[in-house]
Amino acid sequence: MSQLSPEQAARIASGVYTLFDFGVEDALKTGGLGIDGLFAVDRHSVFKARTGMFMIRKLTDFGYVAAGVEAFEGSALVATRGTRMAWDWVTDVNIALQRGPGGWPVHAGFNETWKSYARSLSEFFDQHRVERVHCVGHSLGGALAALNADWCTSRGLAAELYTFGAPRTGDALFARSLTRRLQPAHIHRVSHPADPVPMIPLFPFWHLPHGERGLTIPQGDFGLVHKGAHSMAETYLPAMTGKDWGALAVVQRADENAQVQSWLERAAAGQGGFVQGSARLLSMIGRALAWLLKGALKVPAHGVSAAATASLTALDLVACLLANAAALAKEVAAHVKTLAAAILSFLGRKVGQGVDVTVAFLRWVLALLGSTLAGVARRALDLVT
Amino acid sequence: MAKMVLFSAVQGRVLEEGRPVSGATVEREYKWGWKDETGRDSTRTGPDGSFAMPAIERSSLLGSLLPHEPVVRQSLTIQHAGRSYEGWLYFKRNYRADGELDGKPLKLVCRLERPAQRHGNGVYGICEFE
Repeated sequence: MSQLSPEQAARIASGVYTLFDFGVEDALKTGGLGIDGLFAVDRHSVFKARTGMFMIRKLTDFGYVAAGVEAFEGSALVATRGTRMAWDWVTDVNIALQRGPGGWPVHAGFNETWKSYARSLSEFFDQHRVERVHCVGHSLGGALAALNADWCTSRGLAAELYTFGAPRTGDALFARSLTRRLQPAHIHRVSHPADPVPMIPLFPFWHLPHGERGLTIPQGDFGLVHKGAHSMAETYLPAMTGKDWGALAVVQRADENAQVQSWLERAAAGQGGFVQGSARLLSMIGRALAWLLKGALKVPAHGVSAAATASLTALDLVACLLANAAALAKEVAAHVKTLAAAILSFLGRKVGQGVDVTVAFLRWVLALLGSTLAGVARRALDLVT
Repeated sequence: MAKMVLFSAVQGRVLEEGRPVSGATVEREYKWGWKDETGRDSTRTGPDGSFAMPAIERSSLLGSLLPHEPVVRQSLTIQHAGRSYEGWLYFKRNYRADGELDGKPLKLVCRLERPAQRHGNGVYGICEFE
């Protein structure tokens, strides 16, 4: 079964913005939809959706469903546009949790918008038998694409998800469940490191695929955070032109260690910009912890005998390994200190000066993080059950 | 607050079988996605078939702060001798001056005998770049 290339998916995610309350005619005239030779649309393909909240609501053309042709015969496409108008931002800020199409906790604003066009999806798929559904979107449209994929898999339809600059759509339970149903190889989440939209909403919202980073495109001339990095037409589309998914992933893996080390160094120099409860910060903490542990496992474990490790909890062992590696190398000690400071900042705690990297201190910091995350997970589970 | 250019300044000539068309009406319309705002203006071609229209600019405090995808639907329609011609249909995806053609000024030649067609770069109509 065919998969959209990065360029094809990006052209579709960009092209869906040209639905402009004039139906598909204008978009077809200009070739703007980016689906020539891939999918076929007619005037019934377009669906409207409602954005906003309470009294501030607006119904506009929001996406389309199309049947595959040629190499995509037997597939369907659901493309959704992102934040184009002021009303859409009102949807974005409605960050409560509610049950999504698959029953897992998702962003209430995105889900309300999804529900406003869900009937169009049902009508299309009641009439068309397809083997796979390609769900594509940028920004808010990427979050809706994830909900479309969630709905497809809950109906027993195989789905392929492609998102660009998308915000987090649901919590960790949603992300884990959808990742398991789709499989990571069928989730193509592309983001720019300076794009502010994938940085929101904050924890407990979680990115797809669960447990993986997704694909990032080169930083370019943007600073740490830049509104311009969010542009589908001017940032994401040019970066995807001529690329394939495999090559994008390989470039990224080679860059991972350098990125983590650079983040720790910038953070140690006071340029970390730690934000309490930031999911991005939590993600960097996880990546830095994994990177440091990988290095720590390579050094001899002084003062931790094999007999002793048998009686340690996983938390004790991680603390011992980090403290041991920190004791042997000044550079590692600085990284471990920075990591501890990042964790305390994430938890909203003040970071003390001149803290020694002892086993007890590291164990306390890691336990604090663990109990906080467990508490959030419990609250999310309560919502589902 | 930075200006947002919804429709760059446009200059053009209207020809029919190579001859200038004088007195044709050129109607310009835009629809701005961020504010869901629609606007229109028009002009007439001179004796040499030429016309010119200034840039349409707007500003928005919220729009300059909040990330969103700029989308402006632009169109030019030419009215002549009781007939209507689709001159230009384009979706502008940035707020830059002359952002339609990567910084090049918008200079068009519109030949009334030609069928409206897709020209690449997402442009549709009878008008071509000069």
